[in-house]
Amino acid sequence: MIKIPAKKNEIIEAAIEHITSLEDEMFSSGPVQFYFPQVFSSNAKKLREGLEGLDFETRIYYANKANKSEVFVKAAHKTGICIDVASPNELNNAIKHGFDGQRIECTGVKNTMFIKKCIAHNCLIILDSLDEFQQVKKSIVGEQKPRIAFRINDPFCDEGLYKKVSRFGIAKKDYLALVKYEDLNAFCVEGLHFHNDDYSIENKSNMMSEMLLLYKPLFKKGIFPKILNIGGGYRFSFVNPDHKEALTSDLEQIDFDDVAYANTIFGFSKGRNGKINKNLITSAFFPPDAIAFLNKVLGDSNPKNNIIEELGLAVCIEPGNALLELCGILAIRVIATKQLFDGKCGVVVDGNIYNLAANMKSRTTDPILISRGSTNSNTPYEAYIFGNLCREDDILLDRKVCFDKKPEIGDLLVFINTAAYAGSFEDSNPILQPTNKNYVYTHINNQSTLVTEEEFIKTQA
Amino acid sequence: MIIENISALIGNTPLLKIPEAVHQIPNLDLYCKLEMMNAFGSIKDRIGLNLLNSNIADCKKNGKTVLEASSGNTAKALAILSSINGLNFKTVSNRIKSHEMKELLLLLNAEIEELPGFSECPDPNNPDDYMNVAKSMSERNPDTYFYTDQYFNEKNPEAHEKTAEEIINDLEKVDFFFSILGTAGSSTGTGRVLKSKIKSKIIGVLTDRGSYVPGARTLDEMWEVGFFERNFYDEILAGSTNQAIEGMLTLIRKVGLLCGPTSGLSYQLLLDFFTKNPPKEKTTAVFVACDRVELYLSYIEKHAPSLIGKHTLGIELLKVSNEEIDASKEITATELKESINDVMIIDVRSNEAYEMFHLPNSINLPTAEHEDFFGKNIPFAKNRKIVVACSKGKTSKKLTAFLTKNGFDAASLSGGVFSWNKV
Repeated sequence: MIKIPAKKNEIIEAAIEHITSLEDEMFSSGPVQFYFPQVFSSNAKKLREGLEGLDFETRIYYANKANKSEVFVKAAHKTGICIDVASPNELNNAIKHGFDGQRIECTGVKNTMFIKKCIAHNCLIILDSLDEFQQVKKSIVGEQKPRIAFRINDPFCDEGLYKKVSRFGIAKKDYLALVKYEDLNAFCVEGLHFHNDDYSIENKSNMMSEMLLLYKPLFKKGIFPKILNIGGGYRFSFVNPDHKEALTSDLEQIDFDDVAYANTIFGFSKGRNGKINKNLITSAFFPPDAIAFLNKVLGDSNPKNNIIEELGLAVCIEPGNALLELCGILAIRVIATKQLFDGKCGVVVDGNIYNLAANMKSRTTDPILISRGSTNSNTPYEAYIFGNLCREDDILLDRKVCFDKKPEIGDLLVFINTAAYAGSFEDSNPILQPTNKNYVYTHINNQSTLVTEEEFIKTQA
Repeated sequence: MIIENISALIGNTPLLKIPEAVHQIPNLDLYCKLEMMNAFGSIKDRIGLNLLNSNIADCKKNGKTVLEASSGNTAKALAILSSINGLNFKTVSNRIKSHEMKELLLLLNAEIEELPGFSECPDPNNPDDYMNVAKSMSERNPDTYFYTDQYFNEKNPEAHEKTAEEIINDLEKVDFFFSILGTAGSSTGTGRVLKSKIKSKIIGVLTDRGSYVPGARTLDEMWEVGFFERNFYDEILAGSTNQAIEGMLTLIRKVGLLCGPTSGLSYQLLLDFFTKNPPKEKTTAVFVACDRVELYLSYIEKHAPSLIGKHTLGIELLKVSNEEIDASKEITATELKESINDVMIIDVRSNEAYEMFHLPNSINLPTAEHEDFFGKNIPFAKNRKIVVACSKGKTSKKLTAFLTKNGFDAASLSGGVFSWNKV
């Protein structure tokens, strides 16, 4: 049996304790997400302090797309970091919560209305295509001088060693042609942007080095760029670090057929020998955290990094995940248990893959069972976790979880670390299953408060 | 054996089998093509001969000087070939890092035009770059110079096609050919014949970013010039200065091959490659010993001084106290603009940053080079004011303090080079 206990912090411990005292009624309309903005602020502070030793300025843009709650937008504003918005409504929220345009960058897909609003608020527009460049150009009114940066999508594809397919960004050759032939005087060109979900320190460093070569035509044209934006994609471990050795050992000896609902779990396929690669286990479950990763990528080990300082550039990063680490938990009510035709068991909960976000399955740790029933059984119970949709694929956890006792109807399962791209990220009400409210939990000086998201925003206004 | 002309000793170099006891890769037959045994001691002798041979008569008739942009073996080969044919030879290069090479070129009566840059890699987009300077020199004076143009002249790779023929004559099959990438002429010429005739895999060898191995480039630098086409190579490997020295030492001490660091880099990366991809069946690989070690003693002194009984370079000269740094004079961008014609500006940022943007009339003297540059003396006139610039006006204060301490009128540009655009 595989156990993947979640990493927790004091607030999560306190929140779980608090949840045990809440009325059943609160969970009767679907999963409840609890947010911890104070953890977000602490993460932002730690990240900022963790990068202070670098030779150049760094700017942190909270990637708002990772969580749609305004709670974290407000927290980001309060901590003094910048924000990365990817939709008109994210931009509206950022402005509403106090960000001025100098601290906002706009990424992703943009319609004309979004572009006009970005320009009007003097936000930094990360240009995604040549067409978008022309659209921005057309949208200029009067003396407006849009702040732009070019997102490059293939500094590493055409000729470099590192290949990555992305639908975002401008081809290097198009960027070079644009800089050469276009009159850029109507813009304030701030620099270049790239994003790549490559978690190798070496590759990310090399990508940066390749990007730096692309500044040459800007300088040649008399443009003095200010930033190099290296995007987001910084990870952290979801697993209790004390369990690293045991988990690594368990996963090496895993019996897939016994543990997996289907052939694949944890995002890994079963190897020919029935085992999974040890390196994959370590990199997937125990990656270097954002601060360690960034210090290696941006630090002295890559001599090219000197050039960043020598060109007077600030490095911008766009963490979503890393800022939202341990910032949320999701509590879901148990509505049934069942035995399958082959004897395997399932716990059915009053939520679905959209509440937990399907793409998070590979990093979901063991949920914590909050028992609210009356049975005092101590018999361990192994089960998969199924959702409430009438769909075959609504499986919240496709690996067996070992509970200390059999969950009962009305018990709660608490999933940890659900703030980024997970809990309520894809909320909808398929087959008319209800969605619930989100709550904000704070725990300061042993004083706990629990309010709805809306109430919290009002009190912070 | 009697030969009529030293040029006859260019080409037909032997292949040396590297014993398995040395390389320790089972199933690998490893050979080294001893290009260091060419007449003048390097692989570049082949291209020197090919670039010049058919033009010697024209150069003689019209009194043309042979011109190349090189600070290394190509210049050496061309200098000798020019000399023995009664021609003058001129080379344009950035600062020549190997003093042995510089002295040898002078011994060979070569005229050297040394530009202030440090990079060995030319930049075709920069009109002040040494390759462009050489090119425009020849274009402006077509009757004076014959420009051999090693970076773009097809005669460069063509010269190495014969290298491949020699290898094929000596070996039944070559599964892998490892070649250092500089101009990419040798890998292209040798590689295309090996590929087409015996389907060899061609592995390019580079230095990794931040390392320096004379004659080899980094991947970034490869895009700029020469015959490099990424898709031509089955794989590209990159290694460090330390790997080059380690490989060189093995070849020298265990095989008796007195080769230079590029050969060492090829060998070391080849070992790494086969350690990661152990041959399952008999495999033949060839790498090249490009040149000899004697020209790189100063390189070794710099990067591994203990190997030749030296210790760290004398940097006492550069030692300045924090008080001296704090007390060093500063100049604003406005003041500098007013006196720009009366001062010498030294930009201490890296070569790459300098190439992207620099102040007018400034010279580039990166901090990393100060030990070498000021190792023996300070080659500036004391009657000229010196302004030292960096990115923010902090790093420049150290050199300013050092120059001030040594009696120069020096000041640091406050706010750095980018303050220039704000006034």
